[in-house]
Amino acid sequence: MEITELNEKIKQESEFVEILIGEIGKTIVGQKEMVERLVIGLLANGHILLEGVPGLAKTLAIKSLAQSMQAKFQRIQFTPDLLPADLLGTMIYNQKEGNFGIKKGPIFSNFILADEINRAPAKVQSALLEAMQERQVTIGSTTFPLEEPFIVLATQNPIEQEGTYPLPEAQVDRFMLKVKITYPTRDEELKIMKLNVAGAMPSIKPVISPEAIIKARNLVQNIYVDEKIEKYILDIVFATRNPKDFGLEDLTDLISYGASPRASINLALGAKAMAFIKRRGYVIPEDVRSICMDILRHRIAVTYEAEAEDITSEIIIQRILNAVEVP
Amino acid sequence: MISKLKYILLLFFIAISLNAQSVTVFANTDTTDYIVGDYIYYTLELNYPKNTRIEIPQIQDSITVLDFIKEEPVVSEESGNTVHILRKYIFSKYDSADVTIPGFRINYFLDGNSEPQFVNVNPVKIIVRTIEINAQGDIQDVKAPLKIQLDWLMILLIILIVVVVIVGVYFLYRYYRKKKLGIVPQKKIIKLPPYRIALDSLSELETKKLWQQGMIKEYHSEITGIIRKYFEDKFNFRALEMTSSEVLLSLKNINDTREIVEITDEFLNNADLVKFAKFKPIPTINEDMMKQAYEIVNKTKVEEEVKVETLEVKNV
Repeated sequence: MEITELNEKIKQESEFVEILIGEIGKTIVGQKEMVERLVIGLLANGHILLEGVPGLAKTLAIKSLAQSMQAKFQRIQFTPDLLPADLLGTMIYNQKEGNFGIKKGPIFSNFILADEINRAPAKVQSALLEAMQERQVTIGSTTFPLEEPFIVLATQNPIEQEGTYPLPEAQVDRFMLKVKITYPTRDEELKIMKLNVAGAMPSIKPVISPEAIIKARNLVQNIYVDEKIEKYILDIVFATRNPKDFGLEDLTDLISYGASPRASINLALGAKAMAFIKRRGYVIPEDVRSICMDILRHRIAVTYEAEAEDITSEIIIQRILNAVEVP
Repeated sequence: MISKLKYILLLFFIAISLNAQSVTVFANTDTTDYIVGDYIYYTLELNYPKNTRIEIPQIQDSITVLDFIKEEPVVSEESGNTVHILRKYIFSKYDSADVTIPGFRINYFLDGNSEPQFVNVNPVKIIVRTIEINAQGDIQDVKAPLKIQLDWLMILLIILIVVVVIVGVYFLYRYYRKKKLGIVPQKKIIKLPPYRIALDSLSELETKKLWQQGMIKEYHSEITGIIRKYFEDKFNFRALEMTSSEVLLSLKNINDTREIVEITDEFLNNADLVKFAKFKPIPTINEDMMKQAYEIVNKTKVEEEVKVETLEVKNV
C-alpha cells in the first residue's frame, strides 16, 4: 500500500479513537495519559502494568473502556491465599452426570484488571503471566484460546510493600507498558468531587465493537516505520546496555542491566500505535519519544549505587533520550 | 729381663688392638648459654671401626627435655679403618631452665658378632634464659632501626636529584618570565559565529546537488541537521537530540524567534515527511526547503564580528 493511501486510510479508520477517548472521558476526569496508554495497549495487543496509589480511577478507567467496547470485564483482587485455579478455572465433579466438567475462571474475559498483582504468591502471578504470554489456558487436558481482544491491566501499589511478592524482572518484562499514575490537578479533582457528590455518574455507551479493534490492530501493523526510526529505537535500547558508546560513561555504574530485545519490539509497536492515535500512517521520532518512558522504565534495573543516590530508571531514560541524536 | 720386655710388648699390642676396635661417642652443643627460643645445635661425634654396625636410637625419644626441630644431614668420613660420623640435631626450648641433656646408650655390633655392645653418650648441661628486661629503662624497639650505608652511589643519586630540581625550576622561571613579556608563541583560533557556519554549510549543501541526483532523503536529513545545529549553537538548546515538536516548543520560549516559528514548523514537518514517510516532494519543495533554511538563519542572525581566540601552544 502506498504511503499516501495508507495515510488516508489511517485518518479515516482512526476516527474512533477520539470518540473512544471522549466516551471514557465522561467518567474519567483528567488521567489523559493513562487513557491514551490503555488505547495503545489495546491497539498494540500489549498488557499494561499500572502503578499508582489507591483511588486514582484505575478500575473505573478499565471498566469504562470495557463498557465503551461492549467487551467482557473482570476485576480480580489478588490476595495471598489466591490459587491459580481461582484465576484460570478448574475441573469440577458433576455428581448428577458422574463426570468432571470444566469451570472457566475469570480470566476468560476481554479485559482483566489484576488488582494489586504483587499481593498474590508467585504461582498465581506465573499462571496469569503465562496466560498473558500464550493467550491460551489449559484446564485439565483441554486448552482454551482466550478471546480477542485480551488485555490485562495489573496494578501495583508503590507503598505498603510489606507482605507482597514483587514481580520478578523476567515477568515484569512481559508487560508492554508500565504506566505511573499521578494525582489529578486541583481543577480536575474539583470536577471529580462534583461529579461524585452529584450522584449522577454519566453512563458509558458502546462506541466500538471488539471486532473493530481487531481490524484496527491490522492497520496498526501496516503503519510505516522508516529505517531511520528503527535505528533510533535501537540506539535508545543499546544506550541502556552500553551507555559508554553514547557518551554516557557516568551511567555505566548505575545500570545493572539494560533493556531486553522485547523493549525494541514493544517500542516499535507502541510507536506505531501512537502514530495511529495521532492519525498518521507513519512513525516519527516523537511517537517513539512519547512512549519510551512507559516501555523502558520497568526494563532497566538500576544498581545499588544508583539506588543509594536516588537515581531511578526514569532519570536514566531521560538522560539517554537527551543524549541520543534524533534522526 | 727379656721375658719382662716381651710381657710389656704384648700388653702394648693388646692395648693398640683394643683401641683400634673401640667405639667412642661424644656429645656437645654449640654453646651452653641460650635464650628461650634459640636454636640449640646438638652434635653427636662418633668414631668406630669400619666393620661395625651402629644403632643410634631415635633422638626425639632419647632427648625429651628439649623440643626437637630437625636433623641436619649426616657428615661421614673414613680414615684408614676408622669411620668418623657427625650427626647434628637442632633443638629448642621455650622455658627458662638449667637443662641437662641426658646421656643415652648407643648399641653397636662388631664384625661377625651378633652380641650387641654399647657405649654411653655423655650428658650435656646447658642454661636457657629469658630475655632480660630492664623495667627502669626507656621503652625501645626490639630491634634498632636499620641504618642505610651512605655509599658513593647514594650520594651521586642525591646530587642528581638536586640538579634536576634546580634545572626544572630554572626552566619554569624562564617560561613564566617569557609569558609575562609576551614571548610565548600563541595559536590563533578563528571562531565563526553560528550563522556563518550555517550559511557556509547551506552553501556547501547546495553545491552537492543531492536532490538533483535523486538523494532526496539525504538532502532533507542534511538540511535539517544544519538548521538544528544552528539552533543549538545560536540558542543554546540541544536541538540535535530533540524531536521537531520539541524544537518548536523551545523556539517559542525564546523572544527573538517569534518570526521564524511558523516557517520552522513548515520546514521541519516537510522534512519529517520526506525522512520518515517516504514522501517524494516536487522539485519546488526541495528548492523551497533551501530558501526556508536561509530565511531561518538570516532572520535570526545578528551581525557579529568574527571572534579570534588565542590559545597557547603547549609544546613550547
